[in-house]
Amino acid sequence: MFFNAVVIVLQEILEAALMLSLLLSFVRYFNFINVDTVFIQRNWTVFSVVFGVIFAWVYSRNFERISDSFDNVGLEIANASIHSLSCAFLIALAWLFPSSHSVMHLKNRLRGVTACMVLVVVLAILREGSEIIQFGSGVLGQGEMGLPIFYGGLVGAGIGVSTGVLLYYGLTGLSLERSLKACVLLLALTAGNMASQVTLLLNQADWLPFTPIVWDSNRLLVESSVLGQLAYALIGYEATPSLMQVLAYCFGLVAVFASPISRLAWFGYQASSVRKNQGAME
Amino acid sequence: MYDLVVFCTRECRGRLLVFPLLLAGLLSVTGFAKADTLEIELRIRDHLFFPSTLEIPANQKVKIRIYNEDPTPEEFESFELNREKVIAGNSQTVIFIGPLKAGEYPFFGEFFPKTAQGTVLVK
Repeated sequence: MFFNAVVIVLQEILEAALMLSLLLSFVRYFNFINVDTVFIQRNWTVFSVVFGVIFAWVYSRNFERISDSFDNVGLEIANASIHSLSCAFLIALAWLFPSSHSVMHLKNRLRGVTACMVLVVVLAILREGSEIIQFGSGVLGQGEMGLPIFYGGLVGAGIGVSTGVLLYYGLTGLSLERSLKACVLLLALTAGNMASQVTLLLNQADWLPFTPIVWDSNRLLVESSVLGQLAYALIGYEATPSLMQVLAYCFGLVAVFASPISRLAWFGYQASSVRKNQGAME
Repeated sequence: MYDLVVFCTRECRGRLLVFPLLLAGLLSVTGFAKADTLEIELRIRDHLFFPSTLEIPANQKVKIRIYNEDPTPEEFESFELNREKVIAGNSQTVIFIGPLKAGEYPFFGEFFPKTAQGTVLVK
């Protein structure tokens, strides 16, 4: 039971931790292009984690009611809604992100970006946290082996958070230009992942029609392996995706890559000022 | 939130609308035709699946009605079927799978994976 708890909590925490790390690395970029970062409140992470946990608790309290709705596919519908909202806020984040000093209504834009980041993290914690609560409360309610499960969960959470920290320092350790490219790339892959999950969930609920499996990449990377699961948490790796999942994933990619921030990352029409700021920091 | 709405309406000028329209177009092409659905039962008892092998015909959409008779929750999970769903203790739920090609598709209960193992056998 100990090892089992490690795996389950790790899987859930990992996704939320990676998402938070990615957004935190973005904030670092803010500090470079805008001297005045008053609008990006430092406590936005604490705020969103607290609200995420509260919502996760409320969600799991109403778990059975949600599950029974819509002819027993309420869970899929609720999760698909959460995923599509996450996807929308990630895309909005990319579009709102100021790509130069001279952006109009900078103050409002920064507020919008903060709102998007908070909402994305709250939704991620709601999604993953509610499953941990389900597992924990259900198994602990049995009064069996409470401590091993608790310690297992703690170890899982520790590994998950450490991986997130590792990603954060990996991203922020790069040079500014590379870090921005990596962040935008991960943002695009995450948006794609969210969109693809929506189609998968709606297909599971029979709200979307079946589409054929496009490829099987289990030979390259087994989905159930440790690396496969890490790739699943980070970029939504799926060894046997359906046509609709692939198309939805592409939609997420295109929506982020078409944004001004990705143009800035790759074509850098404002690269000179970025370099200047970087020089000033060093 | 207000800033978001203002941004989407003023600055994007409907460019983002293209994507939902594309998706809607795709959906109408693939069609919502609901094929005949076969319904089968799966029970969870003492962290075991009954029956542990579900035999279903190929190229047929199947509705699996899962009854969890344990007081503990369980998560039906299968990498091969691309399915994942938590079922609360002492409750029932539904998962749609297929149409599938002939073959074996293992599934397991993620909360009690040592004992909760099963296979969907597609013939």
